[in-house]
Amino acid sequence: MPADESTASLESAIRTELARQLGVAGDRILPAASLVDDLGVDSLLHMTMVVGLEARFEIVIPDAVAARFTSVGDVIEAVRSRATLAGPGGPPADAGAAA
Amino acid sequence: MTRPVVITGLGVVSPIGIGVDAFWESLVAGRSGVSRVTAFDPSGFPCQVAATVADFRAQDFLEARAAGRMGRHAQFAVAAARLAVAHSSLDLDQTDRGRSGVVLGCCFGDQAALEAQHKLLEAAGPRRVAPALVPIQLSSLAAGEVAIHLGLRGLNYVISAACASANHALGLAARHIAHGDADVILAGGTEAALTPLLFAGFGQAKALATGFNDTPERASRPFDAGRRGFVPGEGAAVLVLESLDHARARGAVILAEFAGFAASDDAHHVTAPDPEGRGLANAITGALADARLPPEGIDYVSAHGTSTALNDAIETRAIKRAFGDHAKKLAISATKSQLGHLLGAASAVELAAMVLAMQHGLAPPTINLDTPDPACDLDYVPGAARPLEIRAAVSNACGFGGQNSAVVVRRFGEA
Repeated sequence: MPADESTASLESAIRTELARQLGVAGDRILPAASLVDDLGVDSLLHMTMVVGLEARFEIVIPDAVAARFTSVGDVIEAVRSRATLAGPGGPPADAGAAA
Repeated sequence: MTRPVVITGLGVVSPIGIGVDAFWESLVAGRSGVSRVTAFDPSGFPCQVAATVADFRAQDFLEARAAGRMGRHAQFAVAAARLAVAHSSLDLDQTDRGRSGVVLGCCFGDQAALEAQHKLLEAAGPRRVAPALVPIQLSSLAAGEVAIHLGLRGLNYVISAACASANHALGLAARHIAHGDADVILAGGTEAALTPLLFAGFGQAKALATGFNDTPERASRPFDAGRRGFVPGEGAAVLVLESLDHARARGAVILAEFAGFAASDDAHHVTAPDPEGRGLANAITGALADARLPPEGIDYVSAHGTSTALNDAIETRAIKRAFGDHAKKLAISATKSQLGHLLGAASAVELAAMVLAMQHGLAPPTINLDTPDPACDLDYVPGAARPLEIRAAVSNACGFGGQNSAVVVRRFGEA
């Protein structure tokens, strides 16, 4: 598939996973949205989001990088620069909301 | 007790109904909440039946994000607490939240999350484990989550005393109010631990009902000669306990007086009760003394009645030991025949049932009691609910480790 289409698909997959991890509608996953102020992400949800993205895209986001996330755009960029769509495809059953 | 304590609200999340009305309707109709295990595939397990709260929807009581990082036991607790507060017409905005607490019984916490996350740890390493695992899994978060969601800043903890946990919690909550530590306490128990590992563990201990996998509704049969073990269940109940003064000041409807409590231990064996029933008898006798009631003042007993061979025979012995000749005059229900065994929540749901029985003048039945066991020769209200005037009643609880407790409630205004 052409590179720009692949990029769009990856970004869409990241947004979908973010919405799932944060428990919000997909249309609230906007690059400029503040994780804390707009989406109410606390420290525990922040880590749950990171672990969920790592599992979904089979990547590692270093703690130092994750600690600097303030906006949705920061998260998307960190994942996009590390991930490909060649990963496992489906979301893991047990990451994030364990219960 | 130094300051009278009353019960003003009931919240129930049970395998036979959510909310007091649905719960009571099922209970007096003798409906069984036992069915084939759905929480996991029970094929290959000797016991394949459980009492599940099949119609529980966390979103009816919690926002999705909050529910997503709460254990099922804590979700049940918050749901039961909300139902109890509504039932008592307690306006928390008009209540001193600093003098309002939560005391719950719970054995296992969210055991399913623990088992699932352990698999994930083994398969993918520590980096994949859910950051919320510990708060999801902790049994004590059941009380913590109730405080967070209802804004209650008074004393708060969970008691673990095996299958007597909720009776202990209710008794100690009443003591706290009597002593002046709090004016209102949401007290009870919660449990959600229907997992393959615990089914295997309880099964290996030969505690679970076997032989009823094709007839689940017949599996829990306390005091019946054909009983073959207990049926694991899940659920929660929360009761609103208040000082009498507090209840009167707000014009609350008083359901019953919380009259007495005592606890004991068999000091005998990890799983088997004392063969003479001395431990439970001591708890009952202590609770009667705490309530300043003679044995003859009690009309009704909510049995622990687990449907195991040992418990039911020994509990019968304990009731005779505590009540003497009056034991034969007692009406005794084992609601576990319908509810299954809710472990750390059992005696909370059973106390809710007992308060309702007192209010309605109707003793719920012990179902599946088809063939009397000669070792169990008291009046267990077999088969169908029975009209009964109840002035005062005792609720029994016993647990692994020999932990026993008994709670006495009295009709309010009864001398």
